[in-house]
Amino acid sequence: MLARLLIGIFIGIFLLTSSPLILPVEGKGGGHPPRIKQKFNKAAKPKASIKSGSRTKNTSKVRRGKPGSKQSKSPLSRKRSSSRKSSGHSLKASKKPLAKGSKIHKGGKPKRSKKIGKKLSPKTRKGLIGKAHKRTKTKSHNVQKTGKAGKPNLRKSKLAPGSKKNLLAKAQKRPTPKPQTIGKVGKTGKVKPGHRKSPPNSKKNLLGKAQARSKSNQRNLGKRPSSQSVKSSDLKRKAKERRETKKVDRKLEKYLGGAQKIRSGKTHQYTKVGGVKKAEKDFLKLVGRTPIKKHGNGVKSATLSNGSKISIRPYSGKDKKGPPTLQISPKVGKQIKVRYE
Amino acid sequence: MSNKQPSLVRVANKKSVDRLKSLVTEMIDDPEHLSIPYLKSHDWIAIPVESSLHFNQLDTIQISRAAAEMGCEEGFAILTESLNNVGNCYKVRLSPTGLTEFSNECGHFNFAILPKNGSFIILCTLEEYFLVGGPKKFIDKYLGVNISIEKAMEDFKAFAEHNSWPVYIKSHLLTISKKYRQPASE
Repeated sequence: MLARLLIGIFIGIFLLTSSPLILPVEGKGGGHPPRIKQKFNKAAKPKASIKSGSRTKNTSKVRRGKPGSKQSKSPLSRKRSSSRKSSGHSLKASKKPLAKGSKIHKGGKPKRSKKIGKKLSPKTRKGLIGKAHKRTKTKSHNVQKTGKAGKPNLRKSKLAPGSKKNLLAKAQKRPTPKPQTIGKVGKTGKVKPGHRKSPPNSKKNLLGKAQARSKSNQRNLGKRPSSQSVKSSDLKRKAKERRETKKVDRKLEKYLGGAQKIRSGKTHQYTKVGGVKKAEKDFLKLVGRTPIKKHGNGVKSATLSNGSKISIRPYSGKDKKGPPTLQISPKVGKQIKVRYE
Repeated sequence: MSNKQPSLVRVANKKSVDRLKSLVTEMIDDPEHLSIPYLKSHDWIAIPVESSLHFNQLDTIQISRAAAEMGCEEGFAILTESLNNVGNCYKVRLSPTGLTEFSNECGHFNFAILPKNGSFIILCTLEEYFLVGGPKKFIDKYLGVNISIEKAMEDFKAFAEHNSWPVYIKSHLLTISKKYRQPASE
């Protein structure tokens, strides 16, 4: 038991003493605790921040390397050099600009942080990741502000399509919504954020109004269902008419099937046997349930379901000695006359 | 403006209907014949034309063209037989559209179309023909440049003589052909 205890104490002491011994291998900082490492990481990202035009305020605090060797340089270059020196063997990784989508997994720095993370407690690692996130966020914010940053290297990112990081990257990629231009557009079409209100009948204002009107018209056109509904109702009506015409045609074939065609000039002329009784019967069958108009002297008329008009006369000719006649005038096509002899 | 007006309007004014009816009665013998004395007295010509309850598209174009020559844009359609539930008088636009509408509405009944001043008449019958009566310039305009009055008469005669007609129709059509040839030849 005692031996075990001694071994444990020994291991504990060894661990406590060994952790600062490893760190100097990673960076030439000289055995700084993880906290300082974080700062070092911040400083190791100068290229992107310079390009984007954003100032890495935190880097000013970190002064690594040999002090005084390049102190005469400008503060910006000093920062760069200091960061390079401090980065040590991971300098190559820091040369590459940090890709937007590959904040942690790809690129130089994240790798480094991973390496470091091997020796750090998970808490510290988390903190590093969080800080890296923050840094990228501030960077993107600055990019949006200034718009001078280079194109983000999104190709390098191999994230899952629906992952949170990818979504974030997509959101960053998406262009910012344009401000409403109606009423504030100049001649060139550019938006003037703080421009004064032009007089009501000025050219600019009229142009803006016209544009607004056209836009609203377009919107209205899009919303208006009447044209579509009218079209559909027209189609429905036509389909119904076609159906009814077919029905009437079938009826005509059925009831006037025995009629003999005698002539086809301006009208189709038929003759059929049966006299007035047969004519009346055929008329009633063709008309069906539609109302019949009685005009006197045995003259009757009706409108068929497809809009065709039908009439019957029990006589024909001036002296009323002619045979009864059934007349059908369809909406389209030649008229039909059937004489019942 | 003129296009917005309806092509066919029923006339309810009894006074004007009666006036037009009396004018028509003067011009016609019965629903199928024009009055020969009236034609002679006014030096009018009448030609029979094959009918199709009452006008087809070509007929409407010819009539509207001739009416325009007479300076008439509107006419009146008067019922020439005594029937119930049928309009006695309609105001018709003498355009192809108006005449087509008239045909659709009144195609199954005997009507006469004439302008307000009675400068011409078109007698629409149910006996396979309609009669176009009026001064020579009206008839000429109706027929057009290529067809003379004589040619139109010959065409109708050929139509009447067609073998397909039953005997009673044939005889009736030939009578019509002869009847209206006389004023033209005289």
